[in-house]
Amino acid sequence: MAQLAKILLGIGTAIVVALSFLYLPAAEGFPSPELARIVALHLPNAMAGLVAAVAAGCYGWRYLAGGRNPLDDARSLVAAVLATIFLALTTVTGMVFAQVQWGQFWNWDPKQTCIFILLLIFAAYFVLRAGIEDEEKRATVSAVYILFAAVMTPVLGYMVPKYLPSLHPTNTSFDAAYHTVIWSASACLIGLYAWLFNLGVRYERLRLHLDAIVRDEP
Amino acid sequence: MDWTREALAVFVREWRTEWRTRVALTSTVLFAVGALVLIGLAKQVGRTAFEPTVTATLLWIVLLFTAASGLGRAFLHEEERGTALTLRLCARGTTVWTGKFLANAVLLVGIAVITAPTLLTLAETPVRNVGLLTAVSLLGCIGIAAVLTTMSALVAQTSARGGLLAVVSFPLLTPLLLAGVHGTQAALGVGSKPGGMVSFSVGVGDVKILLSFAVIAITASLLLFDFLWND
Repeated sequence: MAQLAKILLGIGTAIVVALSFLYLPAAEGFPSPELARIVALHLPNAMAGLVAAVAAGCYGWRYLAGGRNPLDDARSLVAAVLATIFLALTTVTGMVFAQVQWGQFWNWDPKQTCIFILLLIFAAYFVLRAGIEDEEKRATVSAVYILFAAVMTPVLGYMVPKYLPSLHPTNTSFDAAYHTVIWSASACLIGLYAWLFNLGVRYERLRLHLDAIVRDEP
Repeated sequence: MDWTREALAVFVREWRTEWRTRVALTSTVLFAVGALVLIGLAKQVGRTAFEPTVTATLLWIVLLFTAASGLGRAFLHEEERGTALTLRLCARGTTVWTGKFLANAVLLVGIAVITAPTLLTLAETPVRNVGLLTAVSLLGCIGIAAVLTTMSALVAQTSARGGLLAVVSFPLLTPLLLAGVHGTQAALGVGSKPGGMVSFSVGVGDVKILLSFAVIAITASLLLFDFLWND
């Protein structure tokens, strides 16, 4: 069953990549329509990153409210690592996109800024974790931090666009082909996220077991 | 009523212990004064008045860094002196947070009262609406104090301590910085016709945003602090 899911995910990803290069038409309404195809990679990465970020917050909550299970802390950590990777890829693809379309790699566009601040928050989360030796204390502190950030970041998404002018298109509507490719690519990347998450949690579970064995040895 | 008295008792205790040594107070004030002197000297090099946009940015940068340098002591102190456990016995988490937050907010507002007029005089930037400037700075200070109080409780648990407070809180404070700078610029007449006073309405959006930021930060802190405190 798991094997089948992995094979399907691989085939699906291959199809989506092929589609984004061969099937997608040039997007009208962009300064450089041919090169707009990068959105088929850019937007799905953003979605997978946000799914991972929300998951990190949810597992943080489950750690605090649900009996302080060390495995929930590990799940929160793994989700945060994956969120950082996906959000970094979103930033990089977004910068390439911005350079091609608007002639600037970085222009403090609200969405760019928000994703970058999310990245900074996750970076701070890892620094905070690295600073605490005691495992239980580390788990509690990082769960509180990620939940506090989870409450404050929707404010960010609402406030930042009020102050920074946006270059992101609001009126250009992608045609149906784009919707199909973007949504199926998102599904693939979220599937990839689930797979990596599962691997990461299994690794952390083994590490916890190993730590327990080492601790019990005289 | 009991809750309020407990929180006030924590607040009074904070200031009483602070007043014995005055370490946080003097170091924070001196940090702000040092920053202002540097800004004044740097301005003398250029020999021109600052644009209001620059003045507004500098004001918030000085406030943020002063706060990050001085407000972290709130919980660090307890861990260093080993008084955290006693405090845990005497008071509930929410009252401890509220007392420390109030002490921090008072300190930061005091800093702002010194910093803002000095900086505006140094930069030779005329204020076009004092009420708006006061409202924006006051609400900004409350928001900064709320976030930094919670973050200092987290950072006090780490081995790195000092530098971490700025690292973990600045990303969370970005919305506040944007609204604060924009509101201050409005009070200094950016975006209005030159000359005369400007009305409060030019910055009322920023005041609302700063108010909601402070309310959200305080609520989130009160809800989450118990998890940390009752550990």
